[in-house]
Amino acid sequence: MRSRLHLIAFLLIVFALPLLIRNPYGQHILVMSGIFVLFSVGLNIIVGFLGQLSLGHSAYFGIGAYAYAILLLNVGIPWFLSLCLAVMISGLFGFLIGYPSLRLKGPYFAIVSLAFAMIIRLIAVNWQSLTNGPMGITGIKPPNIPLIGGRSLCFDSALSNYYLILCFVILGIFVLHRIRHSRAGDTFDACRENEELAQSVGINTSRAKIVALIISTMFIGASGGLYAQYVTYISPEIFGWYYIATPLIMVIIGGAGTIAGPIIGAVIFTFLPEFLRALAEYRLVIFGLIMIVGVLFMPEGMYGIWQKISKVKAEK
Amino acid sequence: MDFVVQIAQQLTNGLVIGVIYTLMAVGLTIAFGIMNVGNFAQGEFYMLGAVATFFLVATLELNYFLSLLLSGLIIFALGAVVEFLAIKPLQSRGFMPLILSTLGLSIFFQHMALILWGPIPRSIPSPLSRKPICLFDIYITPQRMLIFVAGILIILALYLLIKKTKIGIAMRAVAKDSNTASLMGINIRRVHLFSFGLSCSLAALGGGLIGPLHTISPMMGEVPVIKAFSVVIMGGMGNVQGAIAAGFILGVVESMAAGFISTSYKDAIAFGIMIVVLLFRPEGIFGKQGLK
Repeated sequence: MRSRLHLIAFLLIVFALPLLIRNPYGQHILVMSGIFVLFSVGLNIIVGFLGQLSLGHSAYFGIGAYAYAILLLNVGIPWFLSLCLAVMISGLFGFLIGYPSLRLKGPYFAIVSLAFAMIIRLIAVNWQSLTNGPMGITGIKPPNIPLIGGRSLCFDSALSNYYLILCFVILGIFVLHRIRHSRAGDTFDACRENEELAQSVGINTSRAKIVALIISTMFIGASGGLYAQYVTYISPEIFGWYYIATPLIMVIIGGAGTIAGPIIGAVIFTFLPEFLRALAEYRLVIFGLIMIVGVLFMPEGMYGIWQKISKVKAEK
Repeated sequence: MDFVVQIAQQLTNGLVIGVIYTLMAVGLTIAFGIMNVGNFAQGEFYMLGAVATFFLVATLELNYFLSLLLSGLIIFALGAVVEFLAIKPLQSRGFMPLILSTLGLSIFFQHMALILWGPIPRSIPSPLSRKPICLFDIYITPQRMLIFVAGILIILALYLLIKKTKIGIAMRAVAKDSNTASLMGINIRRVHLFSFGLSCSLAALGGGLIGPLHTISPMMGEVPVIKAFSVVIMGGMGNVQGAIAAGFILGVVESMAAGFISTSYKDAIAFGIMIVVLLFRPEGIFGKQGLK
């Protein structure tokens, strides 16, 4: 009961947040952290739940973004349908790439996922007629919801986008929570902890892994599609290292394998670079250092430390 | 005849680039075979080797060959420091923290270089002339020739080091079975420090060699590191001879593809081969033989 009250209070704060932060730049960062929450929550399914290190997730982010933009602009499909299709296309790629590569483990899986991401980036750069090459796609129209009486709700501001993305984030976390506490969630744990043992008690581990990967890539694809509609411009840069390293840092330093960890990580690591603005060019240097220091001294992530502290307090 | 000359020309170019892949990949193989570390910062050691050579030549006005050697030593020391600070403490915690730590290093070095060096690409001034020499209708610049010869010499020196010296024998022992090696009185810590430094300095020498031919920039290691990884996988993780052969093969295949098919997808070849090898022959084309 108490935890439910906490959740409601927390949600109220989240809903009120952009009304408290009135300046447009702050609101922009809020929207970006929403997008990254969805991204890292999705990535956490591979890295945290399955225990496989992905280095190719930027591919699904990019596929989601490009699929959304191309379906919306070139094919002319309404935005919501485009978004749903973009999510499905990401999931399809997750299946096509994951099916062969999930036979590999550890560093092998990591390197192959990176190789696939690089191939997809090359395609995005070179398939000019579809993706407009290195120039990218501009002028992605903001979503519109027609209301009664000929008026419509247009998501062209940071404030409106915040609530749009928040809906998806809440939906995503709810879905994830249900998966986590279902039989499927248990099989993911089994795959991570001891795959052979899991197989010996009759768990189809390869199916569990591919299901986890598809769900994960759908989350990441959704965040890519939402990113495209929010910034209205995408280029092959979204396949780059920034979108590989940042979500990984968010998941690992936040706390891999938990639901709250990656959310905390995503919010902190979207805001932190902005606070480090005074250090301007040193931002990514510090990011690199945080990654090393975090891995060295916080094996359980921030959420893990918080849990430990609250446990010690409870014992007292 | 023309076609034969063209093939020979691409073959030469491919072997030259192959040397660079080989140096990086052999470095990765040593780190992987001995310490089980997939070093994702190898591309940055390659970049730092080029940068160090540039400063020694351009700022201190040292001889190019001396600078190359010195930069190898500097990166060796840097590699040993990195091993001590960011690799050793994670050794017992599985593969994921190690890869993440080297990824952090990669970001750190890249952006540090971006601040200190700036985004403008520069080239190492080389004592060799830029005019190509014509050998049997094949054109090759003296720098390309140097890359090839120096690369072969470095690989030979490495072979002797691993086969004949005390530390080389210790490295092979640790690669085979580190527990037994430590029971036999081998100082595992020293072997790890040395191996990681050596692994990084091989990449640095590659960078210093390519510096006068291509331009140097903070991001120059991003793609080569993944190609070096695909070479390692093609050759079989931990197999040094396999990595040497695979490095040359990749260089040649790539330059043939660039010359006869298309340049825009040239980089995809390495990734494609790696994926195919991993799926159908995960132990590598030449199998897993360990450090021999």
